[in-house]
Amino acid sequence: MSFALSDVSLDATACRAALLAAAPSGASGGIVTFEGVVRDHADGRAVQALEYHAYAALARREGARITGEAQDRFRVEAVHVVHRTGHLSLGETAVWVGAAAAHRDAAFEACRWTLDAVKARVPIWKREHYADGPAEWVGAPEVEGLASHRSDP
Amino acid sequence: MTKRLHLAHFSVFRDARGRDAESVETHAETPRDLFDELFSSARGVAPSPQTWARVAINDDLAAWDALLSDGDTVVFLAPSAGG
Repeated sequence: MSFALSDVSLDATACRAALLAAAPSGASGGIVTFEGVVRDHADGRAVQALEYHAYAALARREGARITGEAQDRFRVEAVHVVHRTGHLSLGETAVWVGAAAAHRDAAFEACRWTLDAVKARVPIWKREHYADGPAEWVGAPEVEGLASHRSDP
Repeated sequence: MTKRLHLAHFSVFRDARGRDAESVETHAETPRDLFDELFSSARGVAPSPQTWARVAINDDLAAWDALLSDGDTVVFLAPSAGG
């Protein structure tokens, strides 16, 4: 069970190798992986790039809690997550989640649950750069005195 | 009693304070007190940070009514937007 941050482009082959390194040899009959990728639009606005900022110490701590909880909730051999930080261009992978299990149902469920938990709980913030206006932080409520933002579905 | 706290800022809180980190001398007893002290201009719209933000003390999640100690590091956490 592991969680990592990376300030360089993610290598899916290396991520998969890290997942399998944490799984008992030969025990996994199903591997489900998910890659979140930077898309060119959000809420009808053209997006040119993203920045991810992480509170690294707590992100690693909370990320490790999540992968540990996934182990308790699902019959998985291993779960591995890598999340990008820094400036990302369109098409780059922002987050990689992998789950290895003896059977496919557990792998699918663990991968989905882990991704949702990471999005909700790990202190990482996304700033979208738009073609038609200034960049905004995603997900924070509009608060007078703080910057402008929009919600993330 | 006055205490010195270390603050790291991210996301909207970094924008609001205009810096990544700072140290403050404060009488704040809890993170809620400190939030009001630092972001008083935001209170009219979001009077209860507990409803939309979290707080960390010394690199772990903490309660808004936790007691702060001299030398603590405090970070206010806007809603996460990873993935």
